[in-house]
Amino acid sequence: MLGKLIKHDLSAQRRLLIPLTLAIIAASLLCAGALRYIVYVFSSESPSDLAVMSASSLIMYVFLNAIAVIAYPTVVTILIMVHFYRNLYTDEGYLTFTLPVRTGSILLSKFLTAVLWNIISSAVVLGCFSFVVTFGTATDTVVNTEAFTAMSDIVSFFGDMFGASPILYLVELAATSLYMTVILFLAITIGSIIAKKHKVLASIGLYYAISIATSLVTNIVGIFMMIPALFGDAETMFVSTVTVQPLVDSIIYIGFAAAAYILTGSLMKNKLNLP
Amino acid sequence: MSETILEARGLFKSYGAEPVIRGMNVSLPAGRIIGLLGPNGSGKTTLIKLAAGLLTPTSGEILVCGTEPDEKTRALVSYLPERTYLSGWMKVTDAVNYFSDFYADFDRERALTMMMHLGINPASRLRTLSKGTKEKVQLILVMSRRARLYLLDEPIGGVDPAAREYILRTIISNYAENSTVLISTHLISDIESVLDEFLFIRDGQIAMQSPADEAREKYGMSIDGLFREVYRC
Repeated sequence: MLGKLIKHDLSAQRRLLIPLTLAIIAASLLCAGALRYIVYVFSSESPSDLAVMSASSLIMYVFLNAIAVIAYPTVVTILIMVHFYRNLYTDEGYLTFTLPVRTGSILLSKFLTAVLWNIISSAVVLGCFSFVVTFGTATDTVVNTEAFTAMSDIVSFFGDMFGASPILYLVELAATSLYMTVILFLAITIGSIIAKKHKVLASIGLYYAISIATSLVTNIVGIFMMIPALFGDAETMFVSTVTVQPLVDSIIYIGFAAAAYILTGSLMKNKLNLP
Repeated sequence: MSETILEARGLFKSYGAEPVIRGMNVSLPAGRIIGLLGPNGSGKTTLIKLAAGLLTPTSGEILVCGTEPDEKTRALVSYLPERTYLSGWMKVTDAVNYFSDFYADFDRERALTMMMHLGINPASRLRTLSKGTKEKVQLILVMSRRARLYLLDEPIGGVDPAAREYILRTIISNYAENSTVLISTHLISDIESVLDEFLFIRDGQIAMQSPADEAREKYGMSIDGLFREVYRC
């Protein structure tokens, strides 16, 4: 039954998310072309006035596309959460919660589809930026290989300088993403149970309250973890900050996410309060 | 003695401090069409939601085929709420596929045939249909299951009188002998002819439970007339 739930969740989500994703990819392809034209015009020795004017007007498009690509994962998350809320806590919940499936499976389906879309949106952002930078900034070749080398050098620079593994930051990014997804589920669930009206507003308020509480905990624990470093020199303290903090944050985020997931499942099963 | 399909023992349900179901004891046999009748706020919808597993009792218990509501009983119960629970973006065929995927007892051909009789285009998007047509689609989906217990909450409230007749015919002709249909409504005169039995519910308790024919004979009036007598303001 989990497979069927996932199938129908993806079917409901893809209506908006696939066109949105394709639009972002298409806009980025155009953006890469536009950037290439801009670079070509401004690297020419004597471009015509018309070329300079048209290239200048395309700069705004490149800028807006960058904003759109950065905003895209947030829009994806919002759409996923709208689906979660509608499918469970509005009239649709009367069907969802009377299906012959365990409540745990319903939550797991929502969680797995949200994680899948998080991965897709991250890959799309990374792909779009990489393509725009490598294709859009090339002049004589198809792609700008120097851009790849520069990105790799930046990662190596931080790794060598602070001894911090980039994988550590990727782990923290993944943990934060999982945490955010589950905390949003929890906030929407509590908001839908306790609020008689304005359930969405209550959910948003709860999300910020939970996020602030978690940040306080991560900061306090982080400070305690770095106390030994306070007795060393400035470099030791800095290195400790960039290596220990991501690890501590990841563990706390995963712990909070697990607790929030269990609490959400329990509330869905025992405290359901459909309108 | 026939099998008990739905049973409540000392059932209490309150929303916060406000009790809605107050110590209800009731037992519904198999193979009957039963009217759940009562004024607004008497606890009809809450009782149905408890049986459907959408609410958990504050105390006491409610049993469907001898089991507390869970995913297994939900496979035996076909529930029609008093609202549209299908997503507006779905086409009618999407809704049919949805039921077909999740309910092993769903008869797809029967559903499509009934829709054809009512002139409902399976390719239509639900959001483009009128409220009454959406209710018909939902009722067809619910009654196209071979469930043990049908819980119908105000199934004829939003449809025109001509469609009501079709809906009642649909209910009568589609439930199996060993199934029970529990219909909550306050349009008693419309459904009276199909009822085998009725429950009067007042302030979260059963005020009267009787076979329909026995009550008519005993009180010398219709169930509708009896309802007006019992609930006279």
